[in-house]
Amino acid sequence: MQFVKSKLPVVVTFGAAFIIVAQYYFNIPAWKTLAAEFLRWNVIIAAFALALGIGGIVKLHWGRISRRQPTAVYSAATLITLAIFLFVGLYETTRGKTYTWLYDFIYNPVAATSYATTFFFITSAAYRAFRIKNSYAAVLMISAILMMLQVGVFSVYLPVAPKIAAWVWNIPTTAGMRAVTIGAALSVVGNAFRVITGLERGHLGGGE
Amino acid sequence: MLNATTGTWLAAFLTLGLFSWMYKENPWFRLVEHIYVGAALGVLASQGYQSVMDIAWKPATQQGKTLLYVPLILGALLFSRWSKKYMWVSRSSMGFLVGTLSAVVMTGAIKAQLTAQVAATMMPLNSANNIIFFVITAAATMYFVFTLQAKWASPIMDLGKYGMMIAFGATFGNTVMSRISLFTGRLQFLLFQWLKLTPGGS
Repeated sequence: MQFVKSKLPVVVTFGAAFIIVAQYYFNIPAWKTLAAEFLRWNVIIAAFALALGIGGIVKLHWGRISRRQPTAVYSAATLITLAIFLFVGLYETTRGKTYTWLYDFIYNPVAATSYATTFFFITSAAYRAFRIKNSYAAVLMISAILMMLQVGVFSVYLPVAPKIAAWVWNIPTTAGMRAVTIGAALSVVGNAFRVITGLERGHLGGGE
Repeated sequence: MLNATTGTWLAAFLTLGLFSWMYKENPWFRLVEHIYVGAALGVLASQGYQSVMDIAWKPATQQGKTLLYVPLILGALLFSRWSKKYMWVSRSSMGFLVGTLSAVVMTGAIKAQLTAQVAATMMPLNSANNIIFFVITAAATMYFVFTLQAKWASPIMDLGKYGMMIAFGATFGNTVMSRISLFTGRLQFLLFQWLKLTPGGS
């Protein structure tokens, strides 16, 4: 039983990952088919994991309602909206007319407006970031302002701005981001390796 | 009842509710915020259900692809996480999920983010642009070599930091511009679709 509880999950993690990684090195058709099947299974299990997460949120909001907390009315709004979307989505599928209406007139506007309001957060962040404390902050500010000057009315009054901005974007920005990408890739590979080999087991959770 | 006019009024109510946060946090904003959470969860749940039905349930039950019962069972086992006593039952499912994802991410990162990026930096140093590009990439990469503590490398790392600051600044500037265009889009919706004002005032 101890094997099933603690060793089997690590074996499954390693085995599933090995099949997918090894198909890049060995040209065995059956292996490639198995890897493709595993990726399909991944999508299916991920959908269940999503349901698990949604269940957790429903539990949280239901608890707030049953305890009659001051925020219960907002929790009720969340659960009612979720129920409507889910019922319509299950009843007439996500390609149905009512579901499309809900998506176009409820989900889309709030999603777009939420992103639009981040403009204000980002502006206040810019104010804090652009207070020139040292030469790095100065470079950051000049680069950001150049990007902002290349569009709209600024480009009319300052025709050279789009050309400078294009150069900054194509040469130093791409070069700097490439180094960040390489650094991030190394850390991703290292972390994935730790998970696959069982050195990192946080995802398996606790319990008995 | 569910026509475009009702939809536009509802969308305007929700949009203004979120914008009302600009004045201060208020019940209207909080209501719309919670509606957003519910709608986002509903969209995800519906799409997840649809994909399970299309990829697994229908092929397994109607086309005789019995092997697809395996991920369905593994997926169902995940719900044992809600019980402290039987939480361990979900470990193998979670292991499969994280193992396959790690493998995909690892191979993708090695191919697209590591080898391809390094290969693209190996360019002929026959122009000022190519030289600047190579120097900034090399210097900024050196900044991530945490095991290197040689004094001679310090100016190179500083140069790398400047390169990254240019990159972060430019990315930040571009993000600000894209958010402004989203904000303009919502204002256009309110003015031209909801209030039906004519663009240009003519």
